Amino acid sequence: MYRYDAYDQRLIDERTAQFRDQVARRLSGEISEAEFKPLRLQNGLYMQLHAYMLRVAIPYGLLSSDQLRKLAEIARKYDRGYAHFSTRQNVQYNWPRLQDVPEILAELATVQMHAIQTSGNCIRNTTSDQFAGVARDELVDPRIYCEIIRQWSTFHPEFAFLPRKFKIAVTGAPTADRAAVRVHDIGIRVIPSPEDPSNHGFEVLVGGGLGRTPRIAEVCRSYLEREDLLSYLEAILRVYNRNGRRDNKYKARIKILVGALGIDSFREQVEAEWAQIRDGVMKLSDEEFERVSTAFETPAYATLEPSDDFVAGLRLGKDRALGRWVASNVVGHKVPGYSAVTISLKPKGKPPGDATDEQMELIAELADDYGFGRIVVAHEQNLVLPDVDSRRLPELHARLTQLDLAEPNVGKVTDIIACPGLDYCNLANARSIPVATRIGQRLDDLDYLHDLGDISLNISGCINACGHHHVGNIGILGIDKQGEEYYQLMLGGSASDDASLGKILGPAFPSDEIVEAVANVLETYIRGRESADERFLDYVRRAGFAPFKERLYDQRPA
Amino acid sequence: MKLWMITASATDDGAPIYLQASGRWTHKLGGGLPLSDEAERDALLEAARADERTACDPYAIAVERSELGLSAASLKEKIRAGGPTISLVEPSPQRRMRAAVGA
Repeated sequence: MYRYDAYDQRLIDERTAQFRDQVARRLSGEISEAEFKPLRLQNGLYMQLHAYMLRVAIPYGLLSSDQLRKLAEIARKYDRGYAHFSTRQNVQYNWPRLQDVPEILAELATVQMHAIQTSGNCIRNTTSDQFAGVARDELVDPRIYCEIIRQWSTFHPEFAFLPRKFKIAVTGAPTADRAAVRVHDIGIRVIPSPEDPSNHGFEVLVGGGLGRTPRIAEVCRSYLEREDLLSYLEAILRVYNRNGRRDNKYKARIKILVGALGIDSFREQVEAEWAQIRDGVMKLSDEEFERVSTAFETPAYATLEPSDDFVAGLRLGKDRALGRWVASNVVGHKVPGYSAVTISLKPKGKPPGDATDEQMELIAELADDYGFGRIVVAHEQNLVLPDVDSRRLPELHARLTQLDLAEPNVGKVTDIIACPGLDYCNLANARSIPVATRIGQRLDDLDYLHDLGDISLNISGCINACGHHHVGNIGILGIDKQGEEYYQLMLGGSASDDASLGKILGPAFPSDEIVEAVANVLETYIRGRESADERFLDYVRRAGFAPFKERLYDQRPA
Repeated sequence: MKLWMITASATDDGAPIYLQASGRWTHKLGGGLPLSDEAERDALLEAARADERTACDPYAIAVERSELGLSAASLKEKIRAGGPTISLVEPSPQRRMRAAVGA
C-alpha cells in the first residue's frame, strides 16, 4: 500500500470541511442548483436518474482491507447496502442523500479516501494494470508513476478547468497491456531504454478515447526518459488546454484536437512547449522517485517453493470446479510460490461490478487472511487479491464458493463490462445491465464457456460508451428507436496491445433478440475456428463478418 | 390529447418528484398534475424553476392516462418513476442465513 502523509490528509480534511459548508448552503437555499452543480461535481457528486451518485476515487485501483471495510460500512449506513466498481477502477454509490454526503466524505477521509477529481473537466484518477507490482511480465511497477502523476495532478491550478475531462493510464508491461492505454487521453507504456535495456523510460501515446468519436491513441513520443515524465505531461496538457475546443463539448476531448491537427503537428507543438520547461522544477529526480517508491509498502513475502507445477496440477485436477476457477481466475506472480487471484463480480444474473456491503467485508477479511490486506479493482470491474500463497488456493476457493464469489469466468464472455445504462444513468438510451444478466443466464454451461476461450463482451447504453463497447471483442450499443430499446452488435474490438475498434455487424436487434444474436455469434465462431487455439478475435480478423452476417441476418425472417 | 407533467429531482435526495395541483411536490407520478394546456405547462414550469430550494432542474415530461392511472410516456421516464428494472444485489448467503435463524 502507498502510505499517505500528513499533507495528503490535510488536503482531504480541508476539502471535506469546505464541501460540508457548501452542502449546508445548498440545503438552506442560500445557493441555487446552478451555483451548487460545479461545486458538487468537483467532489464527485452527480445527479442521476433516481438519486445522487457519489463517485469515490481509488488511485490506480489499490485498496487496503480497511478501506474496503469502510466502503462496505458506507454502503450499509448511507446507501442501499451495495456499491458499484467502475471501469476506471473507482467505486460508486447510487443512492446517497445530499445531507449525508459530507459525513460520507469525512468517513472516507479517515481511511485517506476522497472523491476529489472524480468528475469535472480535470485530470481524473490515473488507472493501471490490476496486476501492477506482481505481474511477471512488467518491467517496473507502474503504480509508482501513477502516484507521481496523482501528486502532480491533484489540484493542479492550471488544469482545473480543461476543455473536457482528461484520463491517463499507465502500464508497466511492455507486451501485455491490461490498462487499455491506447484508449486513453494519454497512455503511458513503460519500455526498456533503447540504449541501456537495464534502464527504462516511456512510450507516450496521445489522443485515444471512446465515446461518440472513438479513436486509438497515436505515438506522441517513442521514448521519454523517466526524469522527464511530468514536464512532458505538462507540455501535452498545456497544448490541449490552449487549443482544445471549448465551444462544443462533443468536440472538446484531446482526441479531437489530435485528429484535427494531425499527430505530427500536435507533437511539434508539444515538443516546442516542452523545450521551454523540460529542465525546470518538474525534472523527476532519483530522490523523488525513491521517495514515492519507498512509500509503497512491500508485503512481507515468505520464501516459498515455486508453485507453477502445483497450480497447473490444480487446473487439470479432478476437482473440476476448482480447476476451472484456477484456469480463469488465477495468474502467476513474480514472487515464487504466490499467485494473483481475481474475484469475479459477474456472477450469473447479477449486475456486473456490484458488491454488497457483506461481500466487501468478506473480501476484506479474505485479503487479510490470504493476501497481506491488499485488494485491487480491475478496470473490468472485478476485484483482485494480488498476493495469495499458491498452496492455499484450494482453501481460498472453498471460502469463495461458500460466499457465492467463486464464479470461474474471468476473461470469459460472461465477464461483461457494462455501464449502468438506463437503469441509473441520465444520458442512457437503453438498458445495459439486464442485457448483461440475460447473457450470463443464457451462457450458463461452464464447459462451453471455457471452450470459447477468452472473449471480451462490453455493453454501453448510449454512444458515450462508458461500457467501452468499441473495444469489446463483442460490443453491444443500446440505442433508442422510436421509443424502443434496440441493440447494435459490433465485432472485432480490442483494448490491448492489438487495440482496434469494433465495427457494426448490421442492423440493430430488438431487446428480445439481442441475447440470441450473441449466442449465434459465438456458435458461428465455434463452428468456424481452425482450432481451439484460434481466439475469437483472431477468427473475426481472419474470417471477416461474412459468416456472422450469414448466420445472424440471412437466416432471419424478413 | 397530449398530456404533460412537471418533474424535477428533489434537492435532498435527488429522487424524482412531480408537481401537484397544490403547487407542492410528490414522489409519486400518479399524484402529479396532468396538464393539457401548453401555456399552463410553461407557466407552471417557470414557477417550478423558482422553487430552487426543493427542486433541481424542473422540466416537463409527456404522460399518458389509462385505466390504471397516469404513467410516463417514455421508457426513460417510466424507469425514472419506477426505479431500476433489475433486481438489486440480493442478500448474500450469510444475510439469508442470519435472517433465517433470526440472528
